[in-house]
Amino acid sequence: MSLLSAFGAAAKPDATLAAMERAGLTLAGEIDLIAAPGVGARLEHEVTGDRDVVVDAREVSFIDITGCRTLVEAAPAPAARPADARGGRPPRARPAHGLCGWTQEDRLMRVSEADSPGKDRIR
Amino acid sequence: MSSQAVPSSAAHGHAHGFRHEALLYSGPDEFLAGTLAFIEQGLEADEPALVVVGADKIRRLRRKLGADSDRVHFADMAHIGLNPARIIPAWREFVDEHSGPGRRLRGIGEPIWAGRSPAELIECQRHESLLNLAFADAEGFRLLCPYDVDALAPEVIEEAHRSHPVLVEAAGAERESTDFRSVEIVAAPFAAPLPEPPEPAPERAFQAGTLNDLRGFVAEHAAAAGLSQPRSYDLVLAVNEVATNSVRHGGGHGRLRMWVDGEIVISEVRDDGHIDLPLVGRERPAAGQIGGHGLWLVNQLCELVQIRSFPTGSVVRLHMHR
Repeated sequence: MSLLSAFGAAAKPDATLAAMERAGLTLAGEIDLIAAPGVGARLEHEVTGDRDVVVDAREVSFIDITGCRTLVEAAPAPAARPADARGGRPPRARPAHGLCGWTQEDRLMRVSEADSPGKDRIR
Repeated sequence: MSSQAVPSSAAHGHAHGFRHEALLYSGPDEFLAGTLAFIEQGLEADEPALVVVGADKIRRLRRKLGADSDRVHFADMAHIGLNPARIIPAWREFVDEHSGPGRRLRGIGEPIWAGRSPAELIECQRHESLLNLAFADAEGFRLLCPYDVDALAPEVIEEAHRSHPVLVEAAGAERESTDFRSVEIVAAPFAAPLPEPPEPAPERAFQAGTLNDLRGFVAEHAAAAGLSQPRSYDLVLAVNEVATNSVRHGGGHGRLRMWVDGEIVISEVRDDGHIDLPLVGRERPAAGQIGGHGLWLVNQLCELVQIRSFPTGSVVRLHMHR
């Protein structure tokens, strides 16, 4: 049984995507102890230099502390935070993310209807 | 259970260290007398004070204190202490915020009342003992824990003698408890027995590669037990964190059992590991800290968490109300 069906979650309709001038990644599925190293490796590869990497996490159905830590550790330094950062964490990340004091780390994960990359998917 | 009188100077001689006192009171009037005297003494010395008791007692204390009640911090123990493992972090926050060189602090905390379930009571008593460990180095922090001797069973009062080095009567008489349990004993693995489920419970073995399957098992049983979707998700996350700890630190595998006891959904994770950090899950992880988040998160998500470490392995039980 998938967690998506367990929780009655439905796939969101496709958002209208703005043309992506920058690198983008879509995270999907369950990010746990097993999946996190692969996600981390991919993020480490993508998050380099001054390039602004947008991560679309709307399709993440489960993320635990290991997954959150992977995302936080991949985030660039606060000084590199893009001026137009907005949105928030995927709903399913909030418990692990917020309760562990990582609420100031939103620079990495943001979701908005007009700013979704969908370039590559990591499952 | 026994106690002996100590000179007043010695009883007050903890100004430079943590002083943990049990106030043994009988009924509402003695509660007010004992706690008001403690609070007013602190107000006279301009010491910051936090009072964590039931909402009704807060109302009565505020009425008695009048305008001075604004100088005292209050918090509802029914909220903060719903899961007793969340109380030490609350005291830690108060101490960190208000302590300073030469500054004394006062607290009143009543985590144990007659309505606590047997499982809650044991965890509250564990909390009371762990306070001595958690704040051993808290300079000038004086914490008074009221115990209603009329409403609580004699064995609960006996345990208060073991978890508090100083016993106080409502009229102000102080004694040193000769039954006080040393912090060395408190720091040892906690191995209080846990009752077996009323009937055989569904069980699932897990290891690293089957955590996904385990989460599905939890979600299925949480839904069948009547947990709401958000609560089911919280439980899935909590069990996942405990199971992840088993995979990482408990021999690489473990077993989960789930059952319902009244209005409580209980999830139990067993593994071959040993938990030798007595304050695990009761200290808010520092920014940038690696590790230590799992059981902290679990304590924030669940109403009760029972952590045991036996010679044969460890057990973590999570209680979630339906």
